[in-house]
Amino acid sequence: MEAIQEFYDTISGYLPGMLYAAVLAFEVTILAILLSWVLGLAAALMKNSSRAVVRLPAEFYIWFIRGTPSLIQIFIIYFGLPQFGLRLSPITAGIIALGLSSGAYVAEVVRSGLIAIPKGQWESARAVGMDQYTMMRRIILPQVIRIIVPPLTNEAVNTLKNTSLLSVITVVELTLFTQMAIAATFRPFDFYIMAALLYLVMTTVLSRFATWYESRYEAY
Amino acid sequence: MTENPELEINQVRKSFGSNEVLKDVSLSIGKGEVLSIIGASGSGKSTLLRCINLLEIPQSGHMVFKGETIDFVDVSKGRIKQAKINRLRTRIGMVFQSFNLWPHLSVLENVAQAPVHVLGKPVQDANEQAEILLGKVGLADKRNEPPSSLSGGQQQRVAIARALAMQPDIMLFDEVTSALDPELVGEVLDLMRQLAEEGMTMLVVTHEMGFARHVSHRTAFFHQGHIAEIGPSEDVLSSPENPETRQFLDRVLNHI
Repeated sequence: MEAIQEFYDTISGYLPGMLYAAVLAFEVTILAILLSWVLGLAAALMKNSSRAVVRLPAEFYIWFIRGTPSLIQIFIIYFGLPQFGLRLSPITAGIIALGLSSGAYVAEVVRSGLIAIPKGQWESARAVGMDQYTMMRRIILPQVIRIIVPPLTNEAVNTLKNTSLLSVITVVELTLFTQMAIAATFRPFDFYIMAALLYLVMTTVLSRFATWYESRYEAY
Repeated sequence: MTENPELEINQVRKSFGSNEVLKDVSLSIGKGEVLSIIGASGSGKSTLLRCINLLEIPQSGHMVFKGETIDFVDVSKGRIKQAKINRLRTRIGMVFQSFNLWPHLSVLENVAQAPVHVLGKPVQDANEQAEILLGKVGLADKRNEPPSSLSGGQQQRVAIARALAMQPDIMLFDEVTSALDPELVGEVLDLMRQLAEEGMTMLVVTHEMGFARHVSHRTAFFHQGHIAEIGPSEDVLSSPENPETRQFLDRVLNHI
């Protein structure tokens, strides 16, 4: 009991700040995820193309992102681009870097979903005269989405955890705020535990949301 | 050859790699005619159907559909606009062996989907038409069910309704009863007989010799990528001239 009281006394003054930083991390995550879905879907469809000019950029993007550390990607966006006059705020750079980083993985997930749709589904869509867009929009992607919700959830959780990397480019998200609190109090154990708990809450919320979304389709 | 054919295919050749599946196949079918195609598995029957709605593109040959000529070489070289191919497909109904209903849509949505999103019909009109078609195939009460809750025979009847919803000029049936349990074959064949009696032009790849004999006007026997024999169904099935046809029918009809 005494230990818990002491833990609470240590962090209570910083708790509002930690919550605020956690919310910031969550917001950055949501925006990065949305960006990664757009990029991932585009890259997946491009990689399926028979035309090299369409396919190769997507292949290069996926190859580059998957083969380099996220931290280096973040540095390129935040520290590298200003060399060409493109100076982004830490948060904007962070969202773009995390979105780009996650998009390559989303592309692979979407592709695996596309491959999982039986050939007959594409053929019956073509046989009634659907064009490529209508077939994707009405027949294929709705089925793909159901298949890829679990792996996309994993990827979303990864993105959330990766927001801690943005501490190195001065985004005052949960990790950086925690470090600042530790610098002031010299109580690393208490604060890192608290940070871990807050990350856990957020990743659990994301997973729950995915479970709920999946359950809506159980009838089919 | 039929006079004023609804569909005519000429000198179609199709290979997959070094495997020549269709060797110079020509065929025509008149309006309201039902033509059955029989033959051993791998003889090219299904490939021929798939070539007609361009799910497969032949290396050479052409077809004339309602007076419009489609050169397969042009298609394979990309000289024909995709929009034209799509428009052609809306007029050719196709029913598959494995139904291929869309599992994320209800039975009614399966039938109304293409009329709305391909033909641009108002949703309400398309739904009304779909209800009528589902009534016709005897599944009006299943309209809100997911396809997965239906039996194979029911799913295939929905697939037929889905093809009919486009009001096609011709229907292609690709071994549509082959994936069904024996007791479910009858309901699908009955529906096809009904369509035939209503005057639908039908090209039917089938292993159902009874259907070929009693419903189709003519029957073609496919052997190793070409039509070995074609004629009035009764003639082809009862007194075949070609020895290969005779052998095939012996095997099919005289098994235990």
